[in-house]
Amino acid sequence: MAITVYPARHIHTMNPSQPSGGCLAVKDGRVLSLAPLDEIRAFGDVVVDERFADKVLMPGFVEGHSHALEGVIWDYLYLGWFDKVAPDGQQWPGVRDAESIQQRLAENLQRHPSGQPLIAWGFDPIYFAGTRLDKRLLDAVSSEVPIVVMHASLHVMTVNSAVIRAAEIASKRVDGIVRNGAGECSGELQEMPAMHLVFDLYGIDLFEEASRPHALKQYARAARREGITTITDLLNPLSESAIEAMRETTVADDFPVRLVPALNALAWEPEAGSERVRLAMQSNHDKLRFGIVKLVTDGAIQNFTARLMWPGYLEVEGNGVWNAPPETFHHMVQHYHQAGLQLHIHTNGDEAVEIILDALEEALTLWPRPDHRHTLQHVQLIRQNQLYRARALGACLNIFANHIYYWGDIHRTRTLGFDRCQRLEPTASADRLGITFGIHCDAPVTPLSPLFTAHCAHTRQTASGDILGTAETISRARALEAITLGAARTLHMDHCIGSLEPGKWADVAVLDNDPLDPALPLSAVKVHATLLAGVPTR
Amino acid sequence: MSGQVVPGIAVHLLCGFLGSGKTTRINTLIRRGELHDALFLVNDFGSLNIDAELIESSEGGVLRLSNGCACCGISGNLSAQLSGVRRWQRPPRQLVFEASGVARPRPLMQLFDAAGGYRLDRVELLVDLSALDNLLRDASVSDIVAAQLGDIDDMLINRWQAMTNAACQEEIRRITEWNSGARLQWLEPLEDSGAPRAGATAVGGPSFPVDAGTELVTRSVGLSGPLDCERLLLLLDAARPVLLRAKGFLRSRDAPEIAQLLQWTPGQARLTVQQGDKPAMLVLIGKGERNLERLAALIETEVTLAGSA
Ligand SMILES: [Zn+2]
Repeated sequence: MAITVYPARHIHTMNPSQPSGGCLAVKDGRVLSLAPLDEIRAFGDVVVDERFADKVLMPGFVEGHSHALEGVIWDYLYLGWFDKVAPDGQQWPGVRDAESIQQRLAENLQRHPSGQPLIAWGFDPIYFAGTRLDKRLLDAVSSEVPIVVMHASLHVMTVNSAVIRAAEIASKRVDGIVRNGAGECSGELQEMPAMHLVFDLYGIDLFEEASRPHALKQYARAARREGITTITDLLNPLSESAIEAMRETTVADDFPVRLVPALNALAWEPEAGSERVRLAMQSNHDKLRFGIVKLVTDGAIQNFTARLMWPGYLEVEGNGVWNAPPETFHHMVQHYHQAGLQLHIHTNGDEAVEIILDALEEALTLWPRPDHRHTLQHVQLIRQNQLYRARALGACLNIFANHIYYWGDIHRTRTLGFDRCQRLEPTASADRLGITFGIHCDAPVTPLSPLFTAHCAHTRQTASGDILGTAETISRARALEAITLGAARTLHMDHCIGSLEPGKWADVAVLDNDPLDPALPLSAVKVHATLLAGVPTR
Repeated sequence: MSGQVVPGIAVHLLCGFLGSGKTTRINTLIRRGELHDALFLVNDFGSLNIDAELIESSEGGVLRLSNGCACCGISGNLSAQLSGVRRWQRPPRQLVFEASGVARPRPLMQLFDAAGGYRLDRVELLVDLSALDNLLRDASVSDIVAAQLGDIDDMLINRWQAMTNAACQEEIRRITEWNSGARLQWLEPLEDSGAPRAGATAVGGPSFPVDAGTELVTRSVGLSGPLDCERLLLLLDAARPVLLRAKGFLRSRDAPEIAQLLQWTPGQARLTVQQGDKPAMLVLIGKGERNLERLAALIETEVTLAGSA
């Protein structure tokens, strides 16, 4: 097969022994060479493709923690505070006051099919001090068409009077139905027992939709736009239909990313779960890779549901929630470790980190296993002694750097306070200790964009412009490594992706600007295109 | 058929921590014929021991529930499952819901009370009385245990048989402190499969004070020659408050020619025959240096020496 050569303005390879180059030579989908053109010709005839001659090339980005739910959520109307880009490229400016919310709902209503509820998402009350979204505000848009506004946390929704009537909400006795002093429903429904009344009435099941080909295609499209060439779906049911949908979708030539789904361990009895992964692995091919297992331990800091060690939350009494008994986590870690599979363990709070480090220590003592690369996910509040333990145990980290921008202000003033915001997302400490780490966005929790995630880890700047904990900033180069090779290592895939090194897949992010140019913020660097296995994606 | 008022699926909610006897309770209900056309929804991830034959005879089925992604919210697929089940062509008459050990009962009770097509029929909390003290001291779960005791009045008490009268009374006093309206029912000994499951105060076994350190430690014990397997399991079970895992290769006096792999976790012991020659040794993982030292010494003297004597 022919050799294709892409000359570029510059190539950052992330390969320490050959950190830069001027030409990328591709053969059989792999990186053949990064040498000067004359040297490349020694391999045989070449076709020179000049289309990226003025661009900067990097290894394709690796998003080590996000969800295919991102591919579903854009079927509904966006009502979030921050500007976002939909998978189709449409820009959605953030809505920042009640009038803008009403206006966007009203505009959408005009094009809305009759008889269907209007469903919106992304509303984040934590940014709306003063005004409370309630049924009156939604009734002013329509008191006839059912309107459901999912909040960003997905733990709360606000509905209008049409929904309250149809779901007979006023007559139900559930704590999560918010009422005023006179006992009248405000329209706000908190947590599942209250929200179930609405889901059940309209047949809403976002997670089921996330397993369908349509969602996967949208998800891949959104990823490609941000320079991602390998993406995870870090909580997959691995049902037969889900596996089949992923297989069928990813084999298509024009599917532009490699997909790495993780089994939702808590959905399976351990023996059956590991068997399921092994079965799914028979469908593995170059663009679909089963083999990792996800375990979700606690909740999220901004929802006050992460499990924290002393002194707990700033504004709220009491601790967060466990997704299963701690004993179960021990049992699951043991089982999947012993089964030879790789674990990705959601641990937001430091108490969750502690329990999992104990479980890993136990498992490793019983079944020593070199290079297991079990990865703690999020680790937003991991303490110095825990980082040290993580290193001693050979664990990897995937750090939720985007939180600094999206909730950093909230964490300082409402959830955690000053000190713990200094160590929030401690990328520099992980780096100093030589721990293998990636950084991530957890889409749809925050937007897909590895360059923006790298920007957060590099600057530690919040949405209000505050800087949290300068001692934990990392350099541009380290941040770029975290979104490529670092994330690839946490997925145990650095033999084939994560850097541009001869023999690896030629997965490339093509950039308009040089991400190492100190004059331009990383968040302003534009993605021009991607290559998957050396072929420009569409 | 048509025009008939559908009373809704009667829900029997079972709460309680891991090992508190929820599954055994389900089996008892099945055996007594108290369940008719029942569906079992299980939101716990221990092993599911419901006897398959018994389930078939009750014409029900078992559905397993997943917990959702705590980072992106929606609580697993419970909502979708409930919507689905009630729209089955022939929905079950009863739903037995085995809640996760860390579930807070109040929201679940309200869910089944409010959800269309269901009605809350019965709520029970299973309590392992011998484990209660440890659970309430454990900072990582004590708040949840307290919520369970406070939310549910009907409590079924398990694993009290091996406790002294005074210890029982003390735990009951604490329960009524959390819930003055508690109605207690004392259950018969659990019929656990596998090895005997001794509590902290197993008759004839040594005791291990939990406050002799809580740091996680590991200790290896060399085993010289074939040993008294029954005595070893008794010791490990007695050390349950401080011992988390034990694993290793051993030879039993009953069958000294075979190497066996022992895997012990609280409440469960498994011995599997191994091929070839294995180093006879045991790895213990537990809380407190002094505790494990003591256990190791006991194993060395009582199990191996006594075994060869
Ligand atoms: Zn996630």
